[in-house]
Amino acid sequence: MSALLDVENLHIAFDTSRGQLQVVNDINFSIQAGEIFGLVGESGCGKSVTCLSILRLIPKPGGITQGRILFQGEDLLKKSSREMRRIRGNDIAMIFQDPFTSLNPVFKIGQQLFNVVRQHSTRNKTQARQHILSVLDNVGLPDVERVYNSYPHELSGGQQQRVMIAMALISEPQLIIADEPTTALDVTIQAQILRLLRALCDEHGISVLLITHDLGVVSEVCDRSAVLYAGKVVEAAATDELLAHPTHPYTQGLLAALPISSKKGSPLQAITGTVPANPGAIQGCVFASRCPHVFDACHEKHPPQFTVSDNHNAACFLLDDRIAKDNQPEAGSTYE
Amino acid sequence: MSNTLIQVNNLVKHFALPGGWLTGQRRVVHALEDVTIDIQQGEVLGLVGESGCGKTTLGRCILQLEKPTAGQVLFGNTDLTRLSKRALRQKRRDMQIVFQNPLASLSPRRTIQQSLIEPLQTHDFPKEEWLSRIHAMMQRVGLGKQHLDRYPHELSGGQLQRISVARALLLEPKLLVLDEPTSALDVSIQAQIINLLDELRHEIGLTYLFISHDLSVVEHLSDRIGVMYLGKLVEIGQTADIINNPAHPYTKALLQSVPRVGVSRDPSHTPLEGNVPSPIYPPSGCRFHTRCPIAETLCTQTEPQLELLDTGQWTACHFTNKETA
Repeated sequence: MSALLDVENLHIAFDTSRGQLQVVNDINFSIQAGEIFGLVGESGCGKSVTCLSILRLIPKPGGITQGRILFQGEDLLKKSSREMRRIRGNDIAMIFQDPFTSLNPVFKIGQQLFNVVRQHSTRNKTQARQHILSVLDNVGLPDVERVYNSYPHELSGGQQQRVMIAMALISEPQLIIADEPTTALDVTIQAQILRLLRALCDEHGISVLLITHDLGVVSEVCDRSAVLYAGKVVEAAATDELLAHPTHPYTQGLLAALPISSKKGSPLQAITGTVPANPGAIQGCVFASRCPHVFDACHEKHPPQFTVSDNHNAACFLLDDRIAKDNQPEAGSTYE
Repeated sequence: MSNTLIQVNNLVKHFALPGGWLTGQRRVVHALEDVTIDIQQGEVLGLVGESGCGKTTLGRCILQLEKPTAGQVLFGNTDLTRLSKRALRQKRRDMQIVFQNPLASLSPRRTIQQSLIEPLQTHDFPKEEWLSRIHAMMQRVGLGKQHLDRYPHELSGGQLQRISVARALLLEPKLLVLDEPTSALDVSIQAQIINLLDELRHEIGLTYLFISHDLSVVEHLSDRIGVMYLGKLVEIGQTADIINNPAHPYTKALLQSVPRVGVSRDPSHTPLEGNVPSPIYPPSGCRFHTRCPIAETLCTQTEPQLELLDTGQWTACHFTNKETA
């Protein structure tokens, strides 16, 4: 089975007055048809620019310096801007974090969706309206006629996010990129939206690239996930495998830092230090400065991806038998 | 009960909306409706609920940062709502607050040291003690002297939140209100701040009112948890009871909505339908009845009061016992 989206060797950099700032450094991942792929990481790790780069929407002075983005086998980076316009919305659609700032406050919902339909299809006015109403119904909005004639401020946050999802779905794309789609919502509404995304994948075979900082969200809906740290994929695996057997010290650290019931009363395992400011300039492993198991090799060069098991990779020298033999963490020094 | 630090009685807070004065139909946001709650000396009381439920307003009303519409806030034996401005300013030394976004709550044009001196100045601490107090406090929250001459934009979010905590603790308050102190932080940094708060509490014997929408964080820190919905306290009790035996249907739904790592959700669970109603026109009877899975006619007419259950928590629901049985 060939992948729907293949991101290979992606590098993204921003030009600044102090030289080039490398924000994404050799990212590789692929998304299969019909799956939800999670990209997890903390703020500043490069997850949002990665998803913007797929649609070639990185704002200046940033840009893709290296790599390929294959969508259905074709390299999006080689497309003309005219061809990209056709792909955006038609084949790949995007949902942003904050629905209220993504919808135009001075136009009614129906009008905004209508423009999208007319842009992307040859439907006449009546057909377009019918189509919009059916899609609004599809994303679980009540009383679609009323929603059609509402302004964004007349809807709740959850309803607005459903409208955004409807807008993404309206030209039946194969891939939806969702950048923190539930972060601005309350938990009970988040549960509704996540359930909707899952249902869309299962029923229509749409793929979703879900960007999030919340491991709980990943655990709930993603089939496979990759953990990003300072512009690099540090670990990738099927979600269940990733959360049950994390091998990279950063993934282990993230999981250990979560407050869960069993840890009540004891201090949480915090990851010491902070994210490096310019990870592109670091010669060795980007996590070395915060890693509890760091040894000499980590400062010398980037660890390559090591295979842990089928479909489970991690970039850590601890997985290299030759180098790490003498440096294996002792029992008790690891995160619980 | 042992030692009550704060006793809130029948607190009401309405915010009047602009307009409507011509037609005589003034619209009012019912932010808090008849809330009675107590905070014991030395405990951490967690307050959870979704946006707009009134948890922040309750925190602010306790500190008198908002003037309550009705009700009492007793701090020891004094009713804070009746104090003069001058007397209140004195009292403020005993109760401090840490806000959600540290970058927004520290002045961008002042160095950290300038920001930290202000509370000491306001409360007439002897000038020669200022620096020694600040240095000791910075060390206590895990920062050094070198940070004092920096400006907020030069520090990370985690460091800034440590400074907000330091600023609040400089006055040696008895009560610290923490309003979503970790929501703006990444998980790995959040853990550092939670650990710091937990240590400080045990060392100094502080009392916290911990406000958050994140149930897992509240569960980790709190001795007791209060759950709010649309301006009402719907359930309150010991942390373990609330988490393991939630009695109110809203608490149950809230707990089930939180995505947890490694816990696969019960497939039969259906997420709560609909949205939180507008606090301008709150529903009649039980405010949760529009979304409640077990609501009956009674719920639309009569408002349930908090009742003590056998399991030890207080719950405001007509049908709790029926459902738990």
